[in-house]
Amino acid sequence: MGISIHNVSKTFGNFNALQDVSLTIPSGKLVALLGPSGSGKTTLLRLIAGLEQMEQGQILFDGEDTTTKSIQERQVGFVFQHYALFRHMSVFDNVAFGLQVRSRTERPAKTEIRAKVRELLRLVQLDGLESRFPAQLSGGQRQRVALARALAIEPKVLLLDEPFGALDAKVRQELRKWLKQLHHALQITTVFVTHDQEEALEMADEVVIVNKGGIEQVGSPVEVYQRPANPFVYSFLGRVNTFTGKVVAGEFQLGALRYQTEDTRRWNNSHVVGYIRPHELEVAPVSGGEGWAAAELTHISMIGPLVRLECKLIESGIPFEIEVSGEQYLEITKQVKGNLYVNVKQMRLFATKESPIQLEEKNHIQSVSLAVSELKA
Amino acid sequence: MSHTNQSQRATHPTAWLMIALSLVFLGLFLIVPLIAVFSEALKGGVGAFLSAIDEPETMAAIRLTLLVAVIAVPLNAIFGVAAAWVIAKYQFRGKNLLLTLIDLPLAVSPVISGFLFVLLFGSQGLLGPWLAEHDLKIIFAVPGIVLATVFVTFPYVARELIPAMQSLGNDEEEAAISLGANGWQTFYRVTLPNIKWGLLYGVILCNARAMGEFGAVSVVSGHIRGLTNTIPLQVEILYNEYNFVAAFSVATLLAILAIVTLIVKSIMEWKAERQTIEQEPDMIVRAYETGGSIHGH
Repeated sequence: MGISIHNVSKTFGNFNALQDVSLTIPSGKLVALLGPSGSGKTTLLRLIAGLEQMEQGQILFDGEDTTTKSIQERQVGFVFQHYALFRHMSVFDNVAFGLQVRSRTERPAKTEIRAKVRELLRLVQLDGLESRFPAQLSGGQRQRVALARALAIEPKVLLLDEPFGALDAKVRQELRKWLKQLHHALQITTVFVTHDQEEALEMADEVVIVNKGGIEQVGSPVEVYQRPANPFVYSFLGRVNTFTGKVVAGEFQLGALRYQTEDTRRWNNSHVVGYIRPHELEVAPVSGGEGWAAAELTHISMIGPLVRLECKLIESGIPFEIEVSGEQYLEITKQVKGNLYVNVKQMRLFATKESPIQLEEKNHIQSVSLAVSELKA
Repeated sequence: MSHTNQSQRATHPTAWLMIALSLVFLGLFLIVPLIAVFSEALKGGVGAFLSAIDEPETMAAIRLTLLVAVIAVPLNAIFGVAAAWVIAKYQFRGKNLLLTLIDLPLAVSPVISGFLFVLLFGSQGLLGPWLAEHDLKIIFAVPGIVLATVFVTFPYVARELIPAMQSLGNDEEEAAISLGANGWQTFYRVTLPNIKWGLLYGVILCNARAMGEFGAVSVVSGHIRGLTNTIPLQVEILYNEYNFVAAFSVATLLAILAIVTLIVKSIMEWKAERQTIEQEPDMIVRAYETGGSIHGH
């Protein structure tokens, strides 16, 4: 089922959680609502579920207005961040709950419920655990009980709030893959909220980047990662260097550093900020000629197969990062004497007046390397 | 409500001293009086004890006490659940005021509470003339006793449930609703099982207080023998008449009620603690996770 969201606003007291948000979620897709904490992504999810009332706007399920529909009528499967399993019920009763509370006329027979629960538990690979209580399950198992419980009501939409937030890294990795497969098998329109860009890029068919109560960009993981619509998306979806410079004669200039493309020519004679991913800088032990700038190496860290070089431009002292492969790194260290030289391979320009990059978010988010998702993209 | 008894083993002399002190204190102020009550009551033998209780006036007092408890306790249980529900699950203006009001009966002397009702419903009171006109009797009658008891005992259930419900949060209720449950199903199948031990404990405390209340009831009762005397009032009357064996015999009933309350309370706390351990996932989860019983791949 497709969901259309039209001009939705929601405030909590003085806080504008969502402002005039419009979004279309195509039927059968796996969509990520990605944003920093407090961006309004969870509020949007709760509005879709009907757990929250909006002040303005409309949410349509397959073209049908849901504004007056109660949560019970919407038939959404909601998986809560901390699962919200009924702690006094066994796994079986948790999963059966949605069927057992149906009115007598709609409720399936006991044997039918039993068969259905069994089938769901098999689907989430928890068969044999039906008499356990939530407290006797691991985090990953609880997550899957919550999912089975939500699926029991045959929802038209599956909504997941930070589905992997409370799990440790290894379990999270497994569950992501598994959930993606499950979605592929079931083909239910699924929306999940996450603050982890790696998770969003890896799992989703479509990523919706939410920030400060609005939507920054919607697109496939490749689109949003490779063509960020604005500086926020650029810095939110991975590590990025920013070089503030000037475009003179169609050429970006920052000291000795030069860069020229179709794009830079459009920015002629203006001050701009260049956004460069750490792998979009070329590095060499000697200067490659014009456009290359000298840099000082300040710190080196290993991040899996890559090596991150933290550097400083000699002329201006501006800090930046480069990511190179292990072999490249060895090559460079063999030959380097004193300074390194860098050159811009690729850069995106934005006007200086555009929203400054939020440093806290950047630090928070960028602590994860994007190397993996990048390769996939 | 749950006390985690994970203190270290007492070995230090100071610890022993403290334990000894509290035991002496407990003995002097609780155990000795309790023994005194029972020994006084049984002074004249079991026969005298039983016949003291079997007096018509005493039986009437017992019946009245039970009647008052049967009315007051369910009322306050319903009120307590409702109050705890709105306080724990909703944000609204005047929430703190409501919390303060719930505590009021605990802060006000029961005698004052009793006078409050006399001032309201007494023949010289605010509603007195109107009540007299309609031939309704509240003060110095059973309705007054019930009202005073309800007032004095209404904090117990609510106070017990508010922290429990606050710590539980809203998630499970929201989950139930999203799965299609209506309000009643959500309460009955999800909320109630989660608060049942706290609720039972609150009800038991409320009951003990309802049966044992003296001050407020004494003011509104009028001490009409066989009609408006509850057990505590009957004990006082017998005592004032120097009928010690009878006074202590009836008092044993309240003492037994107190002991039963304490026993039930301990059982409840034990159960509630077990429940919180069950609900404290991480301790157990880790054990499972290190066991590697995760099926996902």
